[in-house]
Amino acid sequence: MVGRLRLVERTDGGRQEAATPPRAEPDQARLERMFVAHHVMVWRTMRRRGLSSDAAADVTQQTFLVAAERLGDINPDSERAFLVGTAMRVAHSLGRKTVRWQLEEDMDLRVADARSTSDERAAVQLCDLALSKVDPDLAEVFVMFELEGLSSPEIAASLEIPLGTVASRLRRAREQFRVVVGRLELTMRREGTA
Amino acid sequence: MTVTPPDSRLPSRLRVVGATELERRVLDAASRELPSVELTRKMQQALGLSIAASAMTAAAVKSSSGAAMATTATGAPAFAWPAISVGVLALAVTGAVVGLRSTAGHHATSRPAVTVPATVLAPAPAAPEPIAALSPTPTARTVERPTSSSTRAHRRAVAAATPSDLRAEIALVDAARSAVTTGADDRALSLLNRYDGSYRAGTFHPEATALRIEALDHLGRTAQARTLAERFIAAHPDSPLAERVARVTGVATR
Repeated sequence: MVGRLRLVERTDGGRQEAATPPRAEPDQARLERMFVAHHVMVWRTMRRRGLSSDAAADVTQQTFLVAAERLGDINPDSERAFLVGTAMRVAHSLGRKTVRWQLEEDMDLRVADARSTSDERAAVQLCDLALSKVDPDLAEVFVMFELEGLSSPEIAASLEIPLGTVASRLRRAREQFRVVVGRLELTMRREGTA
Repeated sequence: MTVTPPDSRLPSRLRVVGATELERRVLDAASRELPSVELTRKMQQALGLSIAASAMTAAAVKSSSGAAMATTATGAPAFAWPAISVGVLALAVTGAVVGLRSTAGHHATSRPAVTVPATVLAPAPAAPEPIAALSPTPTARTVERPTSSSTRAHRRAVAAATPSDLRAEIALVDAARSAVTTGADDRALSLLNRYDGSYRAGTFHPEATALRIEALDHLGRTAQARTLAERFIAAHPDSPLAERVARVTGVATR
């Protein structure tokens, strides 16, 4: 609420802002610290859902707008969980069509786009390709744990699922991911690109 | 929702234990990916944050969770999706977070629904009416944030047009973008025609043209799309949108 008020104040010039300087400053500082510390994680989590670089930035931006409104509700220990959970919801609200890779695309075509993993960018594309073949609910747990280093309680909090579900989703996600990467490797060997 | 860092319930990360060479390579690369500096700057501006570049660089390096730090920032193309620039200006103009309830029903939880700026998630309205500021309509002059250089930049950006013009422009372009995103390309074209007709010296002509190219391409009017794309790329060779236009149509950038 404080965040919302502060943002609204900006439209009213200095008059109201001058009336509430003690609250506004710490909130702004906290938001800036959170942005510095976590915006890359939020952006990258969205990238791994298949969003373009700029669409991921859109979601990241919206996520921090929500955070700005709700700073008072966010426990300092659960900032990452709050941010990544909010980002997931924003992404869901955008609709699956714009969120996930088009699964019907032929995998070999996508491999052709990422000819060699010697190139960092191609390796990222291969990762996304593999993730696109993993069940979405499992993939999001996989990304949070394997790529972004969130703890299981953080993942459970952000997705609002039990800890046991986190563990089982991660296990199944790994199985699927490894099967897909194995297939990719075979395809690349066949094409002499591995 | 207190979270304790120790994580005893899950096994070690795959990259640390038991991954194949290829698995490790792709996971490492994905965990090192960074948004471009330009994109980060735009996010900051849209949020009204003024953060020192050195702090951002340090944070970016720290947040690369790969086993080895990336020596170069990867991949993230620096082209700007129209919503970003539109969003930046919209925030400058309205200066407020605009309430729009998320409709993600299957994720409806005890947590309050996500509030997002209508400028970014405008649900393709029939009329350009998605922006409803929570505060009295400001003028460019009243958008005050003395300590924020990004806000000063916003003020410069909006100085050329009145806020109501900009809001209407943004609404049209956003509606067109939503239409393109949801496959309503005919509708997008009619919105873009309306935009071109109404705002001959509009702020978002490049974004509108890029959307037009995309809509034409979706509709199979590829010859038109390519012609426009070639012209666009020639006119805006350095525009981030040129990359997107080129990718959509297959026209080479210069």
